[in-house]
Amino acid sequence: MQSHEEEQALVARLRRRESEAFTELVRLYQHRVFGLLLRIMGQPDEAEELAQEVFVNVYRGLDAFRGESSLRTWIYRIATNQAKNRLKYLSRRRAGQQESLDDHPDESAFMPLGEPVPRPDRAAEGAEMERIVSAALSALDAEHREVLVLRDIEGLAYEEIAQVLGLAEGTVKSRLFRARYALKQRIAAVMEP
Amino acid sequence: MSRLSDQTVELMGAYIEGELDAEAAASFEAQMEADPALFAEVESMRETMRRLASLERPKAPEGFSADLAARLRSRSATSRRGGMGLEERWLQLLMVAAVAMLAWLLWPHGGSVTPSAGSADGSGSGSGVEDIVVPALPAGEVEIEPALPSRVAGGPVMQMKAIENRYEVVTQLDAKALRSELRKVVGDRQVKEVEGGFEVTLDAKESDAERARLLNLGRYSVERVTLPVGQRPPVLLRSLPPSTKP
Repeated sequence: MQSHEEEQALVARLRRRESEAFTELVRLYQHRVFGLLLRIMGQPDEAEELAQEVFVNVYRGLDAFRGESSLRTWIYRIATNQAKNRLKYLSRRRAGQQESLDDHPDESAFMPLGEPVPRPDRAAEGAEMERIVSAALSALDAEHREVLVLRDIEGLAYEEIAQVLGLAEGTVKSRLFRARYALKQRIAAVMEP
Repeated sequence: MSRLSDQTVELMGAYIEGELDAEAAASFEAQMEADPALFAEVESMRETMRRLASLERPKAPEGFSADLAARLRSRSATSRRGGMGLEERWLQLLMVAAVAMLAWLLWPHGGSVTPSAGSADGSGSGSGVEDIVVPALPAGEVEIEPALPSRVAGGPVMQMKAIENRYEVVTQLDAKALRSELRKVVGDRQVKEVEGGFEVTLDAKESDAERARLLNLGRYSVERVTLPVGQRPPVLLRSLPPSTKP
């Protein structure tokens, strides 16, 4: 992770429209942005497409970035907003195409609890536990997923999450604790014999 | 243990995060001592957090930067040509293509547009859909040239070919995004990359709804028009009244 001074230097270069600075920005954030979007969206194709759009928006919006938040917070905010918009769109489309969905089940739907997640007593622990946790995370609602990913995977501070999601810090904490509990319950439901 | 109340969940979360003051923390610890199930819940919650933190970090696909560079160049060129967003251009282009196809279908055959209360496939009646019967496409290759060029800044950028039971969509715009959308609609098996675009083969049994979804291409809303290809009987074009269009 960059120090504050390094980030300020990068921002200054970005504002001067140095192409190498944008390349560096992409190198620094592409995996994080993709990972964040993959955890929220659940599908690699969707995550990649949205991640590309995030960087297009970052590129276009550099002049509007005032440095009131960190670069990371600003980029994550763009990413989570893109994801929210896309999820809304997909939700509307699914609702409008119910008939087609009956014929062609939409695999983008998040894996609900009760899907045949491999039981830990039948599988090697490490990889299977990862799958169980990932599936349980995917089955949470989007609000819970995003706050868990930002805090427990990406390691953002409450203040940063509040800026990313446009929420009060108290709301972030409350949502986070409930999301963790919901995740724990889902994992336990799969693991209990 | 039965499901915890929201209040207990938040108290437990605050305790784990070290957010409680000394007195509140001591009180919660006393509760845990008296209630082994609550203690187990706290331990289980901590384990959940450890598991989350140890999840593998996904990496962006190979070629992500190169694709992004191409996308930025494409957007930049699009912006210079028309001063219009890509999605607006796409929507407009697809609309133009749909209008062009309709115009072509009607013109060379002298086909009359016949409002019909029913529909050839048994759908549409009574659903607010206006049915228009037009002649079927002839056999062989039919090329639809871009129409209304004055509305398409930058010259011809899209062609749609109807070849028996497949559509060929050729575009100069953002091929990666188009491929992604096409694959979402019809799957990998039916999408073939061809020079300058992608060829999509439709199953002969595919419904009008499937074709409409293909033309819709996800976010580009021309879904109100269906263009069945390769059918011998008169085919059906459906369009919603203007007031119901998005």
